[in-house]
Amino acid sequence: MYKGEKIKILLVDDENLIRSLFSDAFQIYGGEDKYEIETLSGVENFREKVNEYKPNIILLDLIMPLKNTNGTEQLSEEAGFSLLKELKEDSKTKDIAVIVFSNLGDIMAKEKAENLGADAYMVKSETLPDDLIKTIEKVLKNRSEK
Amino acid sequence: MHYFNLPIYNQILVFLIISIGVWLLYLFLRNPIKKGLKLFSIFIIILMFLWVGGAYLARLLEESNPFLSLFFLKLAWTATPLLFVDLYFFIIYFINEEKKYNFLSWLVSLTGIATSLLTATSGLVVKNIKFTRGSLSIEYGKGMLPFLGVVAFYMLTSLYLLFKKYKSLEKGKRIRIQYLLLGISVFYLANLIFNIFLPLVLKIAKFYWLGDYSTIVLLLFISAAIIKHQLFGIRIAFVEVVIGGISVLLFLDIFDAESLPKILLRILFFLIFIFLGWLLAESLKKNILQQEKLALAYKRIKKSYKDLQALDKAKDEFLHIVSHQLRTPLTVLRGYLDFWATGKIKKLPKKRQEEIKKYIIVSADRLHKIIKDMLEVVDLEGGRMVIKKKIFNVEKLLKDIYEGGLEGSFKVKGLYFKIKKKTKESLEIYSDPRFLSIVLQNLLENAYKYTLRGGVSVVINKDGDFLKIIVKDTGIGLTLDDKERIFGKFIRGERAKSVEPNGTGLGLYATKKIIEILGGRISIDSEGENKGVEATIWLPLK
Repeated sequence: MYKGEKIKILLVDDENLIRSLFSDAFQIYGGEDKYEIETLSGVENFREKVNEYKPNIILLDLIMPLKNTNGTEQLSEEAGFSLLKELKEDSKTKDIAVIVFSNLGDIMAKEKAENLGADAYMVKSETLPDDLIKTIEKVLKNRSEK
Repeated sequence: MHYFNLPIYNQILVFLIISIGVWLLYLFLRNPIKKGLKLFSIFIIILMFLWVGGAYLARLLEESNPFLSLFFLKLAWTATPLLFVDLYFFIIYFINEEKKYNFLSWLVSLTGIATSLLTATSGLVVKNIKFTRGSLSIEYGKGMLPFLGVVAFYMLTSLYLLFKKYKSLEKGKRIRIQYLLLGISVFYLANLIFNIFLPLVLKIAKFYWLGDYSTIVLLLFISAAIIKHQLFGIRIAFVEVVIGGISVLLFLDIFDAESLPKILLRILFFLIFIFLGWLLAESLKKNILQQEKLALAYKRIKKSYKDLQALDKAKDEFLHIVSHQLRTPLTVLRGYLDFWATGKIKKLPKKRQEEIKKYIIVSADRLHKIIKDMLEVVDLEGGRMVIKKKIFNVEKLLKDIYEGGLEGSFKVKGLYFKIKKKTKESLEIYSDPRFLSIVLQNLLENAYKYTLRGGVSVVINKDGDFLKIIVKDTGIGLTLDDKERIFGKFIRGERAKSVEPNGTGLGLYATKKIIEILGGRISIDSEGENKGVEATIWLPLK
């Protein structure tokens, strides 16, 4: 475990209030001594942010606005999946723990995320802040034991 | 009778042309064609009969009765300028511009009648006829060149007007004009070569009939252009022409019989043929009509299958996004309420706790709004909202909507609301007021929500057969990116999210859907951020 060290979390979600809720949750569950949190509201600048911030864990939303080939935008889970794929394909970032944190409750999405290398998959509306904190700790513990 | 001094193919051609002419006359009379167009097409056929028949009879009678021969020849030449004048009028009626060229139309009519009268009553154009080696040649008068000049003027004017119209149309709408252009070009070209260039310049008159008979090509293309049953037209037409042609020959054959029994036999034969021919044409028509119906049904089934597939896909997408949209506020609600229930909220500063209370209310409101909008869209897409049109006043509807719920909100925010009527006519339209009020309510609410200072003005005007309503605000505006996607489901403007977190992104989607159901259209424009939004809708007046 990351004793003495802060856990650096990157929360990627296009919804304002979701970012608020979980920022508040980290504040409640450990405060600034334990967690350091940064947020991102979409797919843009994801790589730069990851390289610069070097998070220990990424909380990744799936359905976010995605630019179509014709320039229009559309909400799509491919937004999140493409970030996950990109992350896991790059040797510099493939070891960062990822919890996919999505509104999609179907098994297909869960399987796809796990196949792409996600450490855990959580459905937003079924997750209380308590559950998320526990999962984060579990994922990081598994990692440090390996 | 001595008519065999003309080549046999000439005789067959004349019979054929006359029977096609009669058949087309029957078609033009029977089919629904624009009034002026019908009259001028019928005149084209009559003038063609005079022209072709006159020229034919002149040659038929050349030796037996030179005087009558000259008469028929003059008849043909008299009909010629009138045919071109008629064609000019046919064209301007065909392109719906009969009211546009008043002066030109007068000029064409007067010169045409004058040329015809002069040709008929004087030797200015056709002076005399003479026979050289058994074939007829015409002695032209001094007026021949002006005569040709006048005819050429009609030709060029008609072609120019038709071509101008052709160029101005979109590709899909050109097909009917294409028929006409093609027919007229063949006709003019044949006339130029066989009736003008060869006889006048090269002194070769024996091909005159190719020019005369090219009128039939013109007529066939005209009928293709004005009669709408294009699909089966050509096959049935062929059978009808063949049957009609043989009937005419059989009919003429009756007069050629030497004895009464032979006459009776030929009459019987003629009647049997007519009857069998009619049966054949009718059964063919039925058959082809059935084929057409089948082809149409197949097309429709194919289209509805495609529509269904698209609908199915849209539904999946819709459910997918709706579940996403519902889960977000639900997650926020559960999370924050859990902090309260477990007392963990106390670990956060007081100020933050107050903010969180607002978030909880916002999330509950958002949940409510999504469900309300969603049910509206589901009703629309499921076709459960049935249009009931009636006549009502749009200005009154707008005032009712404003006074019935928006006025207070506008005043609290200090925004103005203006209705400008830009037409003196009444603003009554025949549409569904319930549907239109959802549309106007959505547009006014949007304008209100995203306008922080200034206000909203509604301009109402007539635009052809449509009523144009512009809702203009002085609000936060849209980015170029927003404009392209604003009508999508659950799509919201970039800054709209921060100004009004409760939006669902369904409002404009539903608005557009409803306007389309009412037969109108909508466009949203904005000059950019903070420059306001202008929503324009066009609704059919009837």
